[in-house]
Amino acid sequence: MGGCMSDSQDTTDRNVEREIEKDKKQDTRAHKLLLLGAGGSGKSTFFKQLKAIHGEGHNDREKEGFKRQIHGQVVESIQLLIRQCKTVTKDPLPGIKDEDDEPFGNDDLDDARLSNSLKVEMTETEIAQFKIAKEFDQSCQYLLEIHGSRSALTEQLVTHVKSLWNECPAIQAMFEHRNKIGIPDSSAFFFNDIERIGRSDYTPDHKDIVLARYRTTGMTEKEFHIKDAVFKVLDVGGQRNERKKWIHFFDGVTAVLFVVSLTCYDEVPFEDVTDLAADVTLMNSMLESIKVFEDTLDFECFQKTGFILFFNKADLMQEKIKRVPITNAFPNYKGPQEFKPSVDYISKYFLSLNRVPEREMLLRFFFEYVLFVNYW
Amino acid sequence: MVTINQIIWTIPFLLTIYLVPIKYYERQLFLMTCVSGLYTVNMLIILRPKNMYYPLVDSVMRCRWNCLCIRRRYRSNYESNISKSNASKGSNSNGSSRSRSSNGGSNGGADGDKDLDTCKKCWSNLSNVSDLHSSHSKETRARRTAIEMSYQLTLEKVLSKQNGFELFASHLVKELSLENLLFLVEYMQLKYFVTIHLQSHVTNIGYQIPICPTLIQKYLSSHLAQANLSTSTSWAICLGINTVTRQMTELKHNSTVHALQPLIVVFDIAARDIVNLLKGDSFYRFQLSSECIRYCEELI
Repeated sequence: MGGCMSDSQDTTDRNVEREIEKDKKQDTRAHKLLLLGAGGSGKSTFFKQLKAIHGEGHNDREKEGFKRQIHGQVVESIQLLIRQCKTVTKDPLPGIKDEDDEPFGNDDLDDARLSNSLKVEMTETEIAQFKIAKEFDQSCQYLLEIHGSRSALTEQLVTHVKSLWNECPAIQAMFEHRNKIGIPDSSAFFFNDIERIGRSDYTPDHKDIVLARYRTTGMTEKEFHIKDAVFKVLDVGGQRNERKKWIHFFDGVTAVLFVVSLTCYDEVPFEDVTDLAADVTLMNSMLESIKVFEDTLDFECFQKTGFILFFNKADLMQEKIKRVPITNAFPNYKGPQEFKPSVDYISKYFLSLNRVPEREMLLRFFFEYVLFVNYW
Repeated sequence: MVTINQIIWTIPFLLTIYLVPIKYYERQLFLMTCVSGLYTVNMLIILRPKNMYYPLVDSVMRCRWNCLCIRRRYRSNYESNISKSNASKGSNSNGSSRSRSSNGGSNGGADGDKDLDTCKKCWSNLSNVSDLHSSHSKETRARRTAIEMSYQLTLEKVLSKQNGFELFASHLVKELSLENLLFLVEYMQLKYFVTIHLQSHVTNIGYQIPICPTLIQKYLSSHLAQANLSTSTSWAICLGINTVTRQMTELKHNSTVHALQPLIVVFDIAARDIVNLLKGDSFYRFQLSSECIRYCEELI
């Protein structure tokens, strides 16, 4: 009996050992790629694309998860828009008035600071454009009262969002300032398609999945088999608190895929979002990206690691450059306010941060989620 | 494989017929050698060890080509499955002889007892095939229900049960995002403390996440709220959020408990944000994980 048990134990031991050996062998065979970048640069989007193209794609259950993320994004974005409109016009917040009266309503210090900064930034007429008309009060109240933002979109919710988005000029005006209040660009796409998204039989297609924006926390890894090579790609969160975790994955990295959003030169980082008074020239996500990139390059373990710089959202940048110059983040830039010279400058700037000449640095660009070696 | 073998042996066979004249004895000898060679190789192909038919997932064998190891595997299989070997003993004599000869061949003269063992193993294996088939369909059905159930799971449901909480926590450890859950637990513990000791000072306890009660109902000293923090410490603690900072300063200057209600409101916003973050990101991956499906199977 005892002999039998020890025999089976031996077998289990041997099996476990073999499995560990197998895993180790696989680990050494796989190329470890680390997706890094500041918050909102598009690491997870890149990861999703990889999975769709080189992985097994997204199955129905995953699609259901994305559907919930999209619903969450719609609700959160509209709530944020309403809240910011109310804050700017100093309207009491209807939904959370009772419980939030103390910290927000009677906050003299905050109010004073807010109104002071707004006086500098905006005139009365400018503030007036953010005033949500009385007829939308019911919609605002309904939307602000939703707390479980992961719940499915009900018919009523869809109607409220639709009316606010299409008929309320204040919401549209506030959306124009999305860079300061941390609302993703893709929210407009979902608001416009709210009827399709709100249907009970809605399944997100590839475009929806790629456009869905959700904050990542922690780390996800996935193996991709491309031809004979095995790539282990690690996706991480990019917010400030998440960056402290990066150091745990730095061992044995083949290459760092550093993602930079080209449009973030006038966007306020997630952690610094306050209100419309935010000054994008003082702090914006591009400056943050540069800082993160510099810090990453300086790590001792990355001195010989190759870097691939992905410039994301190039298509959006083409539109944005017409309105906003890149001098927000690059005050020394003297070139024309055009796409090609600006991107040239940004890419050269990033490359110049590398102080180890023998380190391999590659540049890649994303146009509407399609990868390009060059942008012309 | 058999066809290829036949084609290969046909070539020397035909060559012999055409090249060697009929009157030579060598012709017969060559032809016989070809035929016997063909059949020998065919037999070896057909009777090849079981592990060469398909890759063994949890093979005991270190080397899949080592025919001697097949016996050990058969024996261990037999030992583990002996209890199930009662059914269908009389059927399929072909399989038995096949197994016997294959084993005999591979072992190179193993003794009778061992052969008998192998034979029994073969029976049990055959019966297990049918057993496995029915249990397999049952398993897949249970698994499908579990998968569906895992999708219906909510974060609240998982957190309110000890098992679920631990499983989700271990998932978060793997993903390096346990701090989110720890914040929620600590915050709920604090709320529990407030409801026990400072109820009179708080009108509305605010947002509550149903976390497994054994984790929340800890004994916390009733003097906890009277801890003396210097203003600078409280500033350092409170993350630089204006409202929180102001409340913390008030907490220092005035009585401890008056500032509680506004603080609860402020931290509730953070707690809601964390819950949304968990639901949208970590929990969604947890639902897809095999651990969650196993957890649901256990629930069923």
